[in-house]
Amino acid sequence: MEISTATWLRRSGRSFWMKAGLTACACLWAANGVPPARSDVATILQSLNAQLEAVGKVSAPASVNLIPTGTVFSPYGGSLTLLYRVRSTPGGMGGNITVQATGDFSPSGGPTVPSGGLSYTCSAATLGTPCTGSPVVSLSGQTNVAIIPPSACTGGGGACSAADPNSVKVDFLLQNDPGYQTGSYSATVTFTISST
Amino acid sequence: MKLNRLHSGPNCIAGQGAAVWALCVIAGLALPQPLLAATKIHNELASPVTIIFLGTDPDSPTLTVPVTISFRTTGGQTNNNWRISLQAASGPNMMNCPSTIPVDRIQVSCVSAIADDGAAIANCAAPFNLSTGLQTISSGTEGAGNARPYETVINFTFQDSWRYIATDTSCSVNLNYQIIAD
Repeated sequence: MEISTATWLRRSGRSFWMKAGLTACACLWAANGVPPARSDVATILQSLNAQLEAVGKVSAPASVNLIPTGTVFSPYGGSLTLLYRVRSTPGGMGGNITVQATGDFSPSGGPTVPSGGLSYTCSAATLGTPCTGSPVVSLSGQTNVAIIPPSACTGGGGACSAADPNSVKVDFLLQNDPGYQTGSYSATVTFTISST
Repeated sequence: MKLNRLHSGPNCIAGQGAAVWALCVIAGLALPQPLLAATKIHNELASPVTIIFLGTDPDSPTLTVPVTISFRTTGGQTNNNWRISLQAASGPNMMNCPSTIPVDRIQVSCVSAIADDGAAIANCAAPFNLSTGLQTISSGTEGAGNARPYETVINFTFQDSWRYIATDTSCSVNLNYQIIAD
């Protein structure tokens, strides 16, 4: 009997105290449930929105001199280049660049804006369509210089203009009437850009 | 006489059971439950829920929105690590955009990180550009027990540009934060 017990112990491969210890560990494990995960992981979702508004900016030289274009009583002429940046939405109407006289010629005795003597032509727009014909500058309202299409942007390439900044050339023409007194006259014009 | 104690008879089995029971009790007392309990994350929150970049003037292109990420832990241990990571879950480009704007145009900068009100360690990671892969914002070691909130303040920065077509509806990115507490 004693020999038989010893054989059983050898077959089991572990001593009583080893088995007891292992059982205790299993007991402890069971008391604590399944093995705990090494890490807890939580997730947070968040949205990021970017609303890029339609906007445009235009700049012009501070002044431009109109000088005789030819012989006696030929019109006076002068050119300037407008620089602009603009972006417009795909679903909007696009935008435009306009000009309006915000101050008549002074001093008096010379040309006047209401008389229709100041006109201009547009060309070489790098974004949009320049005006056609020879619009007359008005004191009472804006007239078109260039039309900006929808989905426009400056410098983006692809569907946008690659030029940065964009530009359009404006050539002014002032009638030279023999009734004008000699002297130097100046008027103020304002360029405006808008975009939707 | 010595071999008799190793008998596998009924008396021996009863003795083993008693010993196992005693070890269980001792082990249970020696190893209190919280030691094996894993850290749990609670009250995770991102504020605001929606980040809004409003681009009104591309000549002032830098748009910055601060975001606060906070959470609490229970069952934490001071030697365990925690980490907040971020990825763009909606793809490499902003969605619903008339222009193609990659999400990596958005920079993520950790401004400050506090863990357990300063009782634990919190470190800001270096700034990074947003991507579709998880990148670490902040990390550190946990506070013990029921820790007070962990709080990380992030700045999201986007550079507006004239090169982007204006939007009818907002371009958007779905962000996914992952918080891990060991």
